[in-house]
Amino acid sequence: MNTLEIDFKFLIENDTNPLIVFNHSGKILYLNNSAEILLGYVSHKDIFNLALNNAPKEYGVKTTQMELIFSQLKFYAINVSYLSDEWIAIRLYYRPLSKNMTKKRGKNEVLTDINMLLEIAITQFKIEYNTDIRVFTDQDIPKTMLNQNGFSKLLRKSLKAFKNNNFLDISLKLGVGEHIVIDSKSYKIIDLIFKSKGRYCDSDEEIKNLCNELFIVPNFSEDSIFFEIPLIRN
Amino acid sequence: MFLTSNSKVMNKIFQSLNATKELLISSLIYGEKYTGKTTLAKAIFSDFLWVSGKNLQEVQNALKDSNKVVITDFETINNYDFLDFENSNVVAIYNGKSYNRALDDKFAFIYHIPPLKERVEDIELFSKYFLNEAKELFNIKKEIELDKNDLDISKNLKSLKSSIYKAVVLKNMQRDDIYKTLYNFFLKNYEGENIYKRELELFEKALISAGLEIYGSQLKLAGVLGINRNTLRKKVNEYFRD
Repeated sequence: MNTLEIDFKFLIENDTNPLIVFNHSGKILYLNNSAEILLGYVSHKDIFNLALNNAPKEYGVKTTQMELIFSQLKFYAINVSYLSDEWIAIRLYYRPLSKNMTKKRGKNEVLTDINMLLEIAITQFKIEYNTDIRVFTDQDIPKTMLNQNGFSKLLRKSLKAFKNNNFLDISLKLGVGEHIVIDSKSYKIIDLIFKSKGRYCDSDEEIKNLCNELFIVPNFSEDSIFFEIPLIRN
Repeated sequence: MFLTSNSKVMNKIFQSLNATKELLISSLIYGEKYTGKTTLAKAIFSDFLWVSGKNLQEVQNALKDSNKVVITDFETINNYDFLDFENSNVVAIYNGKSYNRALDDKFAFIYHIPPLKERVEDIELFSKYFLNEAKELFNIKKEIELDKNDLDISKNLKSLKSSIYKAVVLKNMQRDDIYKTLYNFFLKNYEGENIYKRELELFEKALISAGLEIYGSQLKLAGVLGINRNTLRKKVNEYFRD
């Protein structure tokens, strides 16, 4: 097969690592899906400056290892490249992460379609609130073992933390290179992110307790809640 | 679409609840009495085991025996600690404008059924439904137009239904029915003095009020009734002085 037939743009578009191409003045010429999420946490100007400060001296590619943290998004390296004076590209690499939980898994877990529970929770939330919800979700996320009752409560309480906001962005995707160890077994991670301009924090303790029961790692900031959910297939 | 509601909110609740039917999730449906909570639940969960919260033992047994349970009258339960909803699909129906906040941690999803006054589309839908039901029951073929004033939604569907039945009966009374109604009324109210004058008002006031609405002027009405206009004026002053 001729490699020309491969749609490389499609591959880049759906790469989980963010990629942004700027012109010489810092205007965005291209960004992939993952970069759209990144720009919810950091300005494109900051990323442009990061690219300029770490660009190779000559035309080509330069990879620099550095710890970058934008709210709950953590990266371990960047790759800056340019082949003309008209554009410069930067790619950021998500940091592989491992979290350890020693307690035994719960008994009330069943294989669950997270997308479906999220959809039900959003429908229920929208009955009461007018918040404009934008969902960026990977529909192909495999089913995972979950306590459906507990997880639904977690979704309801998390959504309620954003009540009365004009908008809420929800992102559900597979984490890259990250895993959670539960009872000596390692599991991939599903990232679920709720982000808006601000939020109520009064239910954070309840959310933390629920997460503890559900083997989910919660991360809170002023305007977002970020869950790392173990992808357990059996 | 949820067949027994035209309301967008009700249909969203229906969709959401319907999606949970095969899941191990507990849902609380709350709202004023007679708003259609049970009808909604029956449309989705008719094959579940139904028990009343009034009988705690029955509730406990149901939760042990089945993982698909509907608990009605949930507001009558005071102690929730013994209720284990894990690994079950439990739907609780709770009569009340608000619910005990302790239930926030008990249920996965919580739905509020709005009162009828907030569901204008449903008032129209149910009015037509109850009107047809009443016409069929009383074997009435002719068209009946309901006035807004005929409808009572103070107790949601219950008062709406009874007000429509009442309106249908009142709008279809024949002379014979009126006679029988008055006869029964007088049988129960033959007490006191000056009964003739007191009860004559029942007849005269209605007769004059309807006549004034039809003919407008007292002069014209006196002619139609075949009484002196001074007599009519006196009676109008007596009955309608407020």
